[in-house]
Amino acid sequence: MKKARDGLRSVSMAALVSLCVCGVFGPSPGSFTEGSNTAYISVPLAALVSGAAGAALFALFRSGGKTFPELLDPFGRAVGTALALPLALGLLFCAVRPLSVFIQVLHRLVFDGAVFALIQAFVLPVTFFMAAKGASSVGRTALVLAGVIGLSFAANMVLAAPGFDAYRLYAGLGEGAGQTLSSALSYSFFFMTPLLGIAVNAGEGDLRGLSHRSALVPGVKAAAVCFAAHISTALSFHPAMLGDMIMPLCRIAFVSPKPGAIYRFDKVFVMIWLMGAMISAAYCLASGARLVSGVLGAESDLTAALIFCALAAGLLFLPLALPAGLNERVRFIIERYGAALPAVTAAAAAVSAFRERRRKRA
Amino acid sequence: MTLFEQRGDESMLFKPKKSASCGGLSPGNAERFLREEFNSEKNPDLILRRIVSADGVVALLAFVNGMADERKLDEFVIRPLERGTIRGSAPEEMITRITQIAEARLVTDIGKAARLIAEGMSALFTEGANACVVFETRGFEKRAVGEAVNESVVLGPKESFTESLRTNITLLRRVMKNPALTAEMLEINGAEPTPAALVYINGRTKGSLLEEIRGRVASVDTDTLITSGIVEQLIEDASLLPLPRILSTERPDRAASHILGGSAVLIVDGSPFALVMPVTLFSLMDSPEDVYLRPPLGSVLRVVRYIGALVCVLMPGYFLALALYHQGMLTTEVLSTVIASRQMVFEPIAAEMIILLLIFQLIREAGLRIPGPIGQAIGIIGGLIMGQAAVAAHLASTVVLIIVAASGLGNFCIPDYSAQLAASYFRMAAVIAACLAGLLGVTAALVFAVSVLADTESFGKPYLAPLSPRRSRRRPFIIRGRIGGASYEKGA
Repeated sequence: MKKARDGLRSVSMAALVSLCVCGVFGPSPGSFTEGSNTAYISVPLAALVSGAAGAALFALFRSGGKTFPELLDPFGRAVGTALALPLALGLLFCAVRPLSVFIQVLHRLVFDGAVFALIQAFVLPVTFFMAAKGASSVGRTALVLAGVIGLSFAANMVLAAPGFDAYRLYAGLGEGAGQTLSSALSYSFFFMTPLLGIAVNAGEGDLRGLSHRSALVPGVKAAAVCFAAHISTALSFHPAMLGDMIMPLCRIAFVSPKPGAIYRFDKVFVMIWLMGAMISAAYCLASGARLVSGVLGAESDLTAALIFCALAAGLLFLPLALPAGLNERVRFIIERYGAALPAVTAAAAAVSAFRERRRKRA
Repeated sequence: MTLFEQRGDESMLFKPKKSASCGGLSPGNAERFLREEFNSEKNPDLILRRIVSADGVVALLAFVNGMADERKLDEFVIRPLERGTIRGSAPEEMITRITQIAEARLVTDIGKAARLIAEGMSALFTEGANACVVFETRGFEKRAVGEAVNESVVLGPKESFTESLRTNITLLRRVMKNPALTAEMLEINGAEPTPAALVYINGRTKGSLLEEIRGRVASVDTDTLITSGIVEQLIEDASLLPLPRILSTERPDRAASHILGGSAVLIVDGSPFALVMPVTLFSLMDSPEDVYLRPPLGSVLRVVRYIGALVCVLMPGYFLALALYHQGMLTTEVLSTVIASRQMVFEPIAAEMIILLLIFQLIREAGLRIPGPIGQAIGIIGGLIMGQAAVAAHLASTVVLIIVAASGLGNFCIPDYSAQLAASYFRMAAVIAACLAGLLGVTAALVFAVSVLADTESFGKPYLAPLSPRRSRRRPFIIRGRIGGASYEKGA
């Protein structure tokens, strides 16, 4: 029981890191600067909505008394697998997106002009190693490094604070509240997917611990981090400047009017956040592998994890061979409509849990 | 229960060529058997003393010269026998009526008796008896209880374990006067079967942990001479990780505090170290001194120690990453200093760093292997004079020398010797990673190391507990709690 509680707590920490990383680095700056930069409203809002929705879903899953993959069993193996696939794909995209952003940043800002494959050669093996060990192991790693990652976020914002100017927030909600809400709905992909990872990894022993807090608390924490990160970015850069940036957060300290030795820590911060991205990617890959192997009834998650790692590597290498416009289009589609992916699987599991609860009551 | 009684019928050190019953064996037969077993034609260590009692009965007392306490034998066995009447006495009466040794028992197998004699006990054979009487008369020379060398403290007890198993158990009992303190005797199969004691508090240490230790000790089968260092390697969780999963301590108070905290301690005969199981990475970073200082001072010491460990492992790699790949992160002044100090130095900075780190290890090894004052002199010559000369000869730059020295000092902040060596290993890995990919390499190496450590266990206990998996605590684990309060951590 103690081990199960430890496992769920570790997975929750990995999920929290993943939520923060996906929320801060997932959405592309270009997408949330249309009209004005309202990401500091829409992204935390997406986190809060996802947290609340996750809490309701977790309560339902728990009342069903079955693990997440078992909830898809009543649909039959073929349909169950088909229903699990959207979430598995969502987890795969959530793993790849922040990693892809970091690899681009390393390519442009840290190792000017280095070959992508060389950078990936250092990032991917460690990420895949963690993913192969499972989400619980990733969570234990996250427990050690989460503090450093959080501190680096805070330190970056404190360093940049002298350069903040409220006039950059001018234009308010830009094209209106409707646009902001619509963006929040789209960004919920980056929160709902890692949150469902907690449910996927909850074993039979963890079900009792799978309470609304497992979703709501990480959701609120992630909302706070995302708000701090995006408001710092919005206070530092005019929306017009953000369109071409890959990771504006790592450059906010440069806007400070008092540059000095300590302001040269931008690359160190990028490296520390990269740890978060690696943890997040490993967690998403391990969760995806757990889901697929659970639905298929496989004894070990290792094979599925290796397949997911291979797919992730493929997705990271693929853009090098594709035209830039196509990449952008795919990214745009996932960012705009990706929230439907976890929603399909979650809805199927919720229906199954609801039926299960009714059957038990009857 | 005494050590002698706990052993039951199992003897420890000596494997007899054959086993035979003492029943019906006269002193003459026993003498022939023992002479053959001990190869006494060439081996004069076996002493066979014939004693004639007051009523004219002949008995044979057998012991090994130097292993048994002859004064004790003379005073409490030989003299009472010479003055007593033993005709028709049962062997039990030898213990209860004639001799005056506190620990004595009957042994019916002469092979077992021979093994006990080899351990330093003495055996008495009498005419017509169906068993021989074995007396606890061990009295060989041993090192006195001395001062802890590797874990010395300014405040707190000074004594350390010795090579004697009995003395070590007594040292623990002196610290913990608890009737539930159990010293369970085990035998470790090595080139010579070696006695060991598994010490724990009955009811406080988990049964599953004790079962695990017993199982692992029982599975040891080696042709090597058994010492605590060998046992440590043979029973710890198999892994390529260089960090120890068992704490080796020479301090009875430290071992006792871990026992109070629910750990078990294995003491191997002939080794002045106790093996504490299970341990975490953070217990390796604790020093006994922490508890003997007031909480704020103890906490500051711990914080300094952790900073030292981080400096040791990460600083050379970080500096190398900045110097090789990310010069933009250094201010103009720092960069100018680095460039100026490296003028005329012929080797690349990465090679310079690696060479200096190796030389540091060399000086450290030399200082450790050479006794006392000469060892210190080697440290001074190596550290100061060689460093000065290397800079003057443009073989090394001052900046890299300072980085290596700071990293070395950080290494010495780590209290556990095995952990110090492991930190050197991680430091070199970080340097190589920095050479290959700068900060990216260091980051990847760090995440990999943390991931491996997070999955490591010591006898079922997570190695990074209480940090990962996290336990509810009222204070950060580095901060020392108040003594006496619920927040005081045993062994902390």
